[in-house]
Formats: sequence, C-alpha cells, structure tokens
Amino acid sequence: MVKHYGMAMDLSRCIGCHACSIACKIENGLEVGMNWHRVETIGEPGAKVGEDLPAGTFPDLSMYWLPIPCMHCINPPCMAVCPASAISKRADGIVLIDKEKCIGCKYCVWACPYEVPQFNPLDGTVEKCTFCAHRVDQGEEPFCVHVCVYGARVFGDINDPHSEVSKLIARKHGRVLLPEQGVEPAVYYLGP
Amino acid sequence: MKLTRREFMKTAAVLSGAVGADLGSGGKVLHALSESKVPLAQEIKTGVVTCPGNGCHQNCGLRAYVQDGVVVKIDAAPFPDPAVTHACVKGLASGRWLYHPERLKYPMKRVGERGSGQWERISWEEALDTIASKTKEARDQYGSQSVWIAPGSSSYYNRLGNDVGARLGNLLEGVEGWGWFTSGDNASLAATGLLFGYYWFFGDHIRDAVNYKTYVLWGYNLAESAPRDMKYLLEAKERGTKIVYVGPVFNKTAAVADWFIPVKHGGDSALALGMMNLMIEGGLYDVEHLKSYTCGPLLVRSDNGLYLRESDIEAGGSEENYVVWDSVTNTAVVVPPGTAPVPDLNPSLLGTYTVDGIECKPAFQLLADRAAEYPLGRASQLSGVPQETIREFAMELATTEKVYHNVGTGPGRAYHGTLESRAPFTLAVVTGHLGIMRAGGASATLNSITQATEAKTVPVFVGDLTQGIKDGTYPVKVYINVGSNKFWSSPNARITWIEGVLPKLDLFVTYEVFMTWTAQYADIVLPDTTIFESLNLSTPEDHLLLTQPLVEPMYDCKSDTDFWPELAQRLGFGEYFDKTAEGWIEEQLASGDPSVEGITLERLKSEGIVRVNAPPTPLHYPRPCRTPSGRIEFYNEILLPIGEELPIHKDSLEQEQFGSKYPLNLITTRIMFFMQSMYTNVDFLREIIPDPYLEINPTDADARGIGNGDVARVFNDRGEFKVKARISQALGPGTLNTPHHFWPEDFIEGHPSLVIGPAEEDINPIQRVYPTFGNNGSATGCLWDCLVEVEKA
Repeated sequence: MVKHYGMAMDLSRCIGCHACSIACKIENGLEVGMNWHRVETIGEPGAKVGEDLPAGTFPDLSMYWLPIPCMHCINPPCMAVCPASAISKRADGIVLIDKEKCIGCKYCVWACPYEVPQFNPLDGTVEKCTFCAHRVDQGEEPFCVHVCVYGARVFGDINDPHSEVSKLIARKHGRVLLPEQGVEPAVYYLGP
Repeated sequence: MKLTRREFMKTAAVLSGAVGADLGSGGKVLHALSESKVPLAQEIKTGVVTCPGNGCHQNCGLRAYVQDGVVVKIDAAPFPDPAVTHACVKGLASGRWLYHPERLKYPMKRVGERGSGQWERISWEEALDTIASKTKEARDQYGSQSVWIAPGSSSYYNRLGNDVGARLGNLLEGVEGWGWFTSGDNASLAATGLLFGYYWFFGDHIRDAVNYKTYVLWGYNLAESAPRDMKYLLEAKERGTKIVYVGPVFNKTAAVADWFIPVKHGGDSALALGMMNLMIEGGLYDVEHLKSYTCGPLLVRSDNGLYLRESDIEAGGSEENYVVWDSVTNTAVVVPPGTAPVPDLNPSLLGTYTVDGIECKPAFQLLADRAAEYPLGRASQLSGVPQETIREFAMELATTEKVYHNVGTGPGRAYHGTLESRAPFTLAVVTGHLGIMRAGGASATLNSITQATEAKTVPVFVGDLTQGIKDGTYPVKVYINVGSNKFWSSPNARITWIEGVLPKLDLFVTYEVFMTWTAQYADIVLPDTTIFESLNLSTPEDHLLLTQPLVEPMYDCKSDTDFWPELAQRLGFGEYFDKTAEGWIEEQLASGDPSVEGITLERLKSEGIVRVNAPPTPLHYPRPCRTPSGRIEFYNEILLPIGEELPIHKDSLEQEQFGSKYPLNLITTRIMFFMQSMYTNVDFLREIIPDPYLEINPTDADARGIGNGDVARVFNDRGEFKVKARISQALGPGTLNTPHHFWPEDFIEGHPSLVIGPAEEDINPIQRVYPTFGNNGSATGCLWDCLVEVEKA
C-alpha cells in the first residue's frame, strides 16, 4: 500500500506541557502570534489554549489535553477548496501549502474542520504544519515528536500495518477527531 | 534583495549591535538548508549546556545547535543513561531567553532615587572600583559583618560562579543569610531530618514508582515542578500503579492521577492524623516495623516528656540507652540506640507503665493519644477532606502492601510548615510504607572551592538578618546580590526590602541577566553572562556535565566567575583567586573521591556528559537512623519547648493575627512554563500563559459579584494587588491561587508579594530549636500562610 505519514497521540501520556507547540515555532521559525500547532485543554468548555480549567465540580474533576497539528488528511478539504492550486499532497501523504502560489484568500482556513491553517498577516499568505517535511526528508522525525519526552507522539506510515504507529493505533484503539467530516485525518488519538 | 533568514540575522546583528535581538530561532535556516540540499552537518555544530532554569533542581542537559556563533535551536542532550535525557518546554524556549532584547547589556549606576529607573552607563573598572572602595569603607567603619555577599542564583544555573563568590564571602567574614523565605522545600526536608536523622527522601527514587501498588504525592505537583521525573510517574501509571494526588489545586499532576484528594492548604497534618487515628483504632498498623525500627516502643516519662533513659532507673546507667516494656516478662528492659530487633523481646507499643516509680508510656501510645484528638469529624473540618474520603483513603493505605509517600514542598509552605510534612511521613511510618527500593543514589563528590582559609561568613537566619539590618543588630552596609530576584521571592518586598533593609544600605549591587524588580532598586547593576556564554560544571543525577561557552559573552556582560577575582584583587585577597574558570573546575574535580576518579577536564571537554563511577546502589532508608535513638523518631524530645514533640495540626499564623477578618487563603503555586521569576519574560511562553490570573471558585466569585475576566482587587492589612479573575473549579471555596512567576509589571497593579507577611515573621519556629540544616537553609519560610479578601475592582 502506498505510504501515508501520520501520527498517533497517546493522550494518557500528555500532560499539556506545550513543548510540541514551542518546538514547532522554533523549528519552523514562526514569529509570535503564528502557531502551527496548538494544545487544547479538554475540561470546562470554552477553556482557551493554556487555561487548565477542569470539567466538573470541585473536587470531582477531570481534565486532559489534545495536541492538534495538521491532520494531513487523506481527503484534505483545504486542498479541495484552494482556488490557486497552492495546496498539494506529496506521495508520502504530507499536505503542503506553496507560499509562492498562495493568494491569501483563506478558503483553506475556513474549510479545515480542525482550524489548522494560519493566515500570516506579515506576508499575506496561509501557513500550516508540514509534519516537518524538511526533517522527514532527512530521515528525521518531526521536531514535535522528537522533543516529546513523555512519548505521547509517534510518527510513521499509517498504511504500513507493521509500523510502530500503526501497531499502537491498533493496540490502543486509536480514534480520529471529527470522523463525520469525512476528511480521513492521518492523526489518531489514543485514550485517555 | 531577498535575504535568507541567516543573512537577515547577520544584518540585523550589525544594524542593532545586538546579536540576534529577535532571534533564538533557526527553523527557517534549517528549512532553507534542507530545500537547498546543503548537508546540515557542515553548517551546524552542537554543544551541551546545563539548562539555565535551575529552580527545579533537575539540572537537565540541553543540546544547543550553534550556527555562526548563534544558538539557533535547542533540544535535549543525550545522556549516557538515556533516562536522564530531557528538555522541558522552558529548556526548549531558552534561546528566546538568551537573545531577549531586554537583557542587561552593560554596568550601570543609578543617577536618581532608588527605584526611579534613572541610570547611567559605567565601565566595569568604575563599577569594581566603587564596590571595592565602599566595601573597604564599610569594613573599616563597621567591621566585617557590614558586608553581605550573596552569590547564588535560581535565575540560572551557575554553580561555579556561586562557589567562587562564596570564596570571597568567606574571606571577608561577612554575614550570610540562610534559610531562604520560600523554602517550603526545607520545611519538608527538616521533617525527614527529625524522623530519620538524615535528609533522605528527596532524590531519584521516583524511578521506583513502578514498583509500588499505590504512589501518593502529598502536595507534590510533579508534572509542573519536576517535569523530568514526571515521565516515571506516567510510566508507572501505565504499568498499573495507582497515583494519588493530595493537594488544594486540581493541577496537571492531579489530572493525571487516579485519585485526587482535595486538602486545604495547611490541612495535611490533620488529614494524616485523622487517618492514623482510624488505622490505630482498627489495629491496622505495622507492629513489627514499629517495634523494631521506630521509637514506638521507647518509654516516655509522663512527668517531663523525655524518653526514659537507663540512667533514670539505674545508678551508673547510660544516658544514651533507652527503656522499653517487655510484654512477655512484664518488665522494663534497657535497649541501646539502634534498630536491630532484640531476640526474645516483645516490647509493648501501647499502655501505661510504672518503672521505678516513674509513670511512662511507649511513644506509640502517645502518638495514638495524639491521633485520637483527630476523630473523623475534626480531621475533616480541619483538612477540608470529606469524612468518607478520609476513611476510604486510610483503608486503602492500610491494606495495600506497597505504598510510597512522596511529600512535596507545597504542604511545608505553612505556619509551622514542618508539621505538614511530618504527619504524612509519620503515617508512612505507622503503616511501614517507607520506600524499600531506591535505584540511583550515586552522585559526584566534588571538591568545594568555597573555602580558601579558615575564614568564614557568619550565617544568620535570613529573617533575623533582615530584621537585624533594620534594627542595627547587623551593621550591613554593602550587599552584593547575585542572580537572585529577592524582592520577588521574599514575603513582602515592601516591608522586608524597600522600607526595611534598603534604607540601611550604603551600596546595593545586583548582578543579573535582566532588570528584575530587585535590580530596579540597586545602586549598581551588573550585567551577567548566561550559562550559554560561560564555563560551568553541573551534576545531573549520576552524571557530570561540562558546559563550555557556546557563544561569546554578549554586549558588555561579564561572567561572575571572572568578576569575583577582580573584586578580590582590589580588596587585597587576590592571592586566593589565581585560577581561571578551567582551573577552578580542575580543582573541583580533584576531590580524590572514587565517584570522579579519572574524570578530567579534558575528558569532559571531549565527551561533555560523563557518568560518574559510582554505580547506582539500592538504598534502604538509613538503618540505624541517624537520630539520637538510632530509630525512626516520630517523637522528638528536641521539640518539647514548642509543643511539637509529636505531629499536631496548628492553625495558620494569619488566623492568629487576623482572626476572621480575611476569609480567603491565597496560595501562589508554580506552573511549568516559568521557573521562579525566570522565563516569565519569554515571548513564546507568554503566548501560552499571557497574563497573571487569580483562580477563584465560583462560590467565592458569585458571593462577591466577580465574573470571569473581571479585574479583582486582592487585599489585606499589608497591601493589595489587582489581577484578572479566572473562575475555576480547580480549587475549592476558601482558596485563591495565583501563579507565583509574574513580575510587578505584569499585574494591573501591585504584586502578590505585597500581601504576604514579612520575612521577620517567625513562620516556622522549629528553626529555633532544630537549626541543623546549616547554610543550606533550615525549616523555614512560606508564602502561602496568607489570608486575604477579594473584591471586584
């Protein structure tokens, strides 16, 4: 089967430290205000990024975290709506925006159910997580995976049943976010 | 012209005269390089550096990627033992700290009033000459105790500079403050000192969490206080260990735990005593452990509270030997100090006995009597933990074979803080749950370079020192404060420093990386290098890590390792400072200890991180203990004068002072994105936590008409601060929390420091009778014994 890179997020190993988000900014040279990756607190509805607001009534509470990179969907809705053909999918499944072609219309921003693409007001184009394609091409993992000391992120070929990521998804019954959207995201969530 | 980012960086550096003022980020460099297929290895070199953030005491190793003299990226440095390889969110963001545009760039003297913000650039020569002449003047006029040199820093890791500074401090025989204000840590350590005669519980045994059925964290927010250790907890949980978190706030550690026990701050003692009462009533305690290894069977005299000694009942008997009541022969039997079980002896743990006309009870009976003062209702009322939860928790602990109690630093930040740790530890003693395994334990033993001659600073408990400076007991005129944001970390900066100590000083020097709250009030501010720019040696777990300068000293910054010798030269002590930084490190390594044998500076330079020779040894808690009786002592004669010979719950000092005037307990917890007052100005981290906030339970907020995001005014008799309210279920009614990392400029008005009692308050009276912790600080300090009211601003 053709290769498709994807990720598994083991939520039982995520403590919401945001190291992945910071690592992404540093690796990809993002300025303040630009975030290709975010970590949401799942607790009290409406909690903003960084607000650890548990759900429930003290002391019966619960809280966990949801790291959100680009899902590098099998059917990327961003690519489908782009009028400038600036969004493409590589043979390995990685979805990229070509900033030279992007006209900054933000259709992709509206089309993405995961609110991933970010409009950069400095250059008037849209950017997003590349799965660190520049690292992947050098045989390295995405930097967010590399820095996750708790082992909450695993990267690999989700179409290869023998890959670590596929085995983990199978063993821990990985699920995707918003499956009803039909975009077939390549990022799976395990637990918590 | 379209510049690559790298070219831009160079240009920007030239234009601004400030290397990488907006940088710390090399991502686009790497991206561009990969696109142009230039092999990375030709462009980037890497080096190891001890993480600047020192306050977690984890000393992680970072790997910095350096390009053209600029750190462009950071990740975790690989350790010989991969378990130690770690970089948290702060370490990763350290480049933004290193290249922060607001770094102090050159020495300055104030030209307006203290705190007016009016400065003039001066040369290092002028700074050094001024400091030297003021120091000489003060010593001539007021004697050696007029100088307070405070090397030491939690603002970045700097062991070498601290030690070289301490060397000069000792030679000057000035004063030295010990027992720092914030040290709830030390309150907990003192508890272990009392129980075991040895500070043994802190350390690496968290690796053993996986070996326990139940792992209890008392006020230890591991996820946010010790992120490296957190991975062991997650690993243990995945493999079936039940994690229990006991604390006032539902934080990241509580969220990961299987069970959150909501205790009011200052209530851990009542909770533990209440549970001990249930256990003792139900006969659910470890009889053999108590008889053989603890003070439980030792008889205590009813008339004076002292242990019955052999000398009390036999002419010529030893004062060092104790007496137990043997239940087999119904006689008093003398036992020497030590913990070995005595064959054919079955000492009583309970009862009242008369020996030679002296009424006595075994220490365990006294503990049982004390615990009985905490029946379920009272324990629940004092601790805030529901009665049913206390019962369930007690039964779980009493009936589980392998339980570990890890008592953190939060509980100790209370009035009589040591009590808050002693009670949970005593609970562990009663059930015999004292860690059996302890992997690790090995560490490097280095030479101390702080002592050049017999001369030594005079250590003074810091509350006494600040009070003594105010009232003239200590004639301190020159205070050189290095890398420590004392205004921020002290209880009440206004009372303690601004209106207290500062007016008495002729010269206040602060040596810093940034213009902190403390530096703002200095007479001379000196710009420090960071650890990225200087040589240093650290000891993460069982490794040695040599940090070599990765970037040139920036601006006109100078490492304090180089500063102290120059000052010493001017003060006539130059002969004791004849080494370079490398020479000092060689001397540190020349301890002759087997742990570092064969580890040379040259080897460290080539390998960066080296594992020490001593293998990790499984440790038991020390048997015999280093207590007077050689047993675990939950009954401490030394504390009779303050009525704390046994664990007990005491109300907060604020309740004594304010009564019910201020009903809310303000605590100031740590969050993992900042380190003490450091990293608080790092832009990437402030994107995650933009502003300070006040966590308040909806019950308290509703009663005061405070809505989410409203500006709240927090106040008491001492002062006030204004901050945005965050209505949250993470804490219970009666408690307020604001993270302790923020600077005054981050608040709408004021600062939490201003509502907290001053340093002179005798917050942990135990340090008066148990000052054994010496220069490392004793049982002291707390910022959380603080009652306030809050209103919508």
